[in-house]
Amino acid sequence: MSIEVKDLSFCYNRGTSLVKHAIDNISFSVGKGEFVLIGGEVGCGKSTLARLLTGLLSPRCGSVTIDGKAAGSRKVRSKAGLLMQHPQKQLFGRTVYEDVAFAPSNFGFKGKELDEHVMYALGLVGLDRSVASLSPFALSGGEMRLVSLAGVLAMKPDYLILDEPGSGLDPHNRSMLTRTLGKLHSSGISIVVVSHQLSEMLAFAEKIIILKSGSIGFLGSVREYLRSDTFTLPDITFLMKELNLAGIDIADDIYSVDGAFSEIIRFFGSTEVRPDE
Amino acid sequence: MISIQNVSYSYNGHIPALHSVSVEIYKGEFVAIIGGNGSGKSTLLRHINGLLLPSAGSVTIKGMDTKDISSVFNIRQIAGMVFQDPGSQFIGMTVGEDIAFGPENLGLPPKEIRRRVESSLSAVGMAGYNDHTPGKLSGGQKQKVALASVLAMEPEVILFDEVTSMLDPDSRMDILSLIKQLHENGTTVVYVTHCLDELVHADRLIIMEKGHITHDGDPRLLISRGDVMNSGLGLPPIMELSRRLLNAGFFEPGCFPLSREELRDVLCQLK
Amino acid sequence: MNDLFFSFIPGDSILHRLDPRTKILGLMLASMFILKVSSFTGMSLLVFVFLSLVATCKIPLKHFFRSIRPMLIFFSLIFFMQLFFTEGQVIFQYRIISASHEGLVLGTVLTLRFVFLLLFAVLLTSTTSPSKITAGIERLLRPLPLRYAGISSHDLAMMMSLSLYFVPLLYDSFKVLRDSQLSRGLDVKKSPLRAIFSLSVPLVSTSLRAVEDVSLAMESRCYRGSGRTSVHSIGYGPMDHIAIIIYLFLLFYYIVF
Repeated sequence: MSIEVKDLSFCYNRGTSLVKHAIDNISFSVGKGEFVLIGGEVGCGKSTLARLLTGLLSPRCGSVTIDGKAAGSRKVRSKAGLLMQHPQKQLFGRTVYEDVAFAPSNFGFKGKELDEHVMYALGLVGLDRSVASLSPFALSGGEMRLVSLAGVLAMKPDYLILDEPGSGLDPHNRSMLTRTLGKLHSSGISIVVVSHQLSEMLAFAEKIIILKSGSIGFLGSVREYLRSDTFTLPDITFLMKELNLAGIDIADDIYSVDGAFSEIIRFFGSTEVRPDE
Repeated sequence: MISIQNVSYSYNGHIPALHSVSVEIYKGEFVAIIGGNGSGKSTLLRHINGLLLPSAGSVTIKGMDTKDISSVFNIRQIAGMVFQDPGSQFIGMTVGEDIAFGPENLGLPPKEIRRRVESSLSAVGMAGYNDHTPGKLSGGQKQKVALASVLAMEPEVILFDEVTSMLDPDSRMDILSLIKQLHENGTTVVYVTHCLDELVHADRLIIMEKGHITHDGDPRLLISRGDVMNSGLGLPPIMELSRRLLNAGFFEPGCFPLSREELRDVLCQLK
Repeated sequence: MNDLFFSFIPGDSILHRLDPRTKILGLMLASMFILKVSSFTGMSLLVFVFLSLVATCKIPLKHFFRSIRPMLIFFSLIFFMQLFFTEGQVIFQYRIISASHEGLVLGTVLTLRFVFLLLFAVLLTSTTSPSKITAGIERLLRPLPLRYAGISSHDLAMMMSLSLYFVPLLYDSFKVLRDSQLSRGLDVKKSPLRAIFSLSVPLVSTSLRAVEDVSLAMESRCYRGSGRTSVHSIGYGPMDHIAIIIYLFLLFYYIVF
């Protein structure tokens, strides 16, 4: 039970002079219940990969299979949900209920079953059922993002793929979203986050993939990632590495404030170290 | 230079977005306005160049009132604005034409317009992109063109409305250093953001919450005192670490480090 | 999308260097002839003029064929309408459907006229940047007493160029919306009505937002309907004068014959 990506290649504008290889021969897998982060610089093919994973695009070479069936085929269409960039622009229902109900009703659910799907999704993202009757456009930016997420979760996917889920949100709403994703993960949903900013979700991640112009530049655990130099590291890790280089002997594979604080205290001693004394 | 007096504003007559806000912005300042989604920071910014007119109170730039229709043209030439979405502020079909739009409105002769297009393109490091289609540029490049198109009007103040929120970290750094450079060359900068780690270059910080200005002062002081955290914004990891080190007595509030580089230098000195 | 209708191909040929006004007037004159021509010789003369213009501007012929491709359905509709609904000498009959000789001739002429109109228009748009066209239109409209109607020639020209600009923008947001809904299980073939509704609502709201954004950007850059100048210093050169003289002869010919 997993998403298997095998020797996958994809290019835009095939057969013209503008041909652009977006994904170049990559393989990896997303296991059941796994939390995978996919990072990389702008134009490295992250968004293309997200679309390939859900079958919105078809591979030119290789394959993407979800639980053994080709991505995008009828039987697995509801299994992998994709939350695209700027999802608040894609809302359209007159009410939150109507918008969230869109996906399950496309799969033929009606009446009580449909109701159950919508309430399940709203519950998962932590929205009160009282918002169901409101217009999605009357909500705050953070709540709109959660409604969009619920709109994907309402088809009860086993795999949730998110493309830059936090973009445009303020820090408060971002951390709310991160917590929600953590909860979804612990409820057993596999999560793939595609983003150019990985630091916020490192606490949950089990596997990290860094794309480099369409190929896999790095694939490994969080610890291995923090020790590598493949991609922009979290600020705290960067600081620890720099301090280390400057001769301050502290662990450099740390990304949390707590970890960094206790390491620095350990090195300098917890007593008052005033610069001017 | 910019004087905002008791300004209140509400969209469509309900939901007040600004409650009697007063603030003075002086020539040559780099002011960062920070607040969460819906705190009224962008609304305040749009009052400065008269895109929005106050329901009560007044906004004046160099003595000109934004409510005075005859001076709106001058006000917008003095105060240029760069918007959040790099994709939706293009008016021309090529980069050069887009940048020319402002100077064309000013009624300048074609030769002078072309000179300004060239010089503002090179000011943002995009010389030679004259004939490119905006749609085919990256987000960061688009935002640089947007900045160039404002520079072409030779404004004295530039208003930035969350200009980096849709960009990747690298282009963000690019834009920020361009803004710093402009400020050093004498441009007054008003920078609206919800990212605290972007105010390293600012010399004044205004915090907004629910349509009010809650704090106004030196960024280092406001952050080290915890005023920002109390406004529900949450500190970026580096500042959070700095604060905890401050509380542990590592340094004085006056030299509170705001960036990774500053914190590194402070810690290295302690060694 | 950019590659379909109105794509400008930068270059330095005679056609590229002509004043946009000359080219717009030329297109108008060509249209007059196209709408008048019905003989085989006239048609081949138009083909000759078109081909020699294409040869001077160094743009591959393929580009022009690509431009008419999206209109093929429309063209065939015109052709078959004429073919089957014109009364005359029957040349083909199947049950109640009958094609007439007159229909064949009329259909061919009419379709070719549309094809020519489009081809000449593409010739203009591919050798002239949209803003030059706008500047040209604005200058041509300037003598008209538009201000009595409450608009300026700038406003009118601006409207044209903005609507050109919005077409690719709308197409892009349409693609994103379609993808987002396909991934939420939308089946366009099974429920087309539902698809139209669920796609059009956010498309309208995004385009309204885009219009708002652009108008804010225009306002904050001091847009005004009058007193604007243009980055393109358009002015007639020797080639333009030659072209205008040719136009006058052609116009004379058109009126007399």
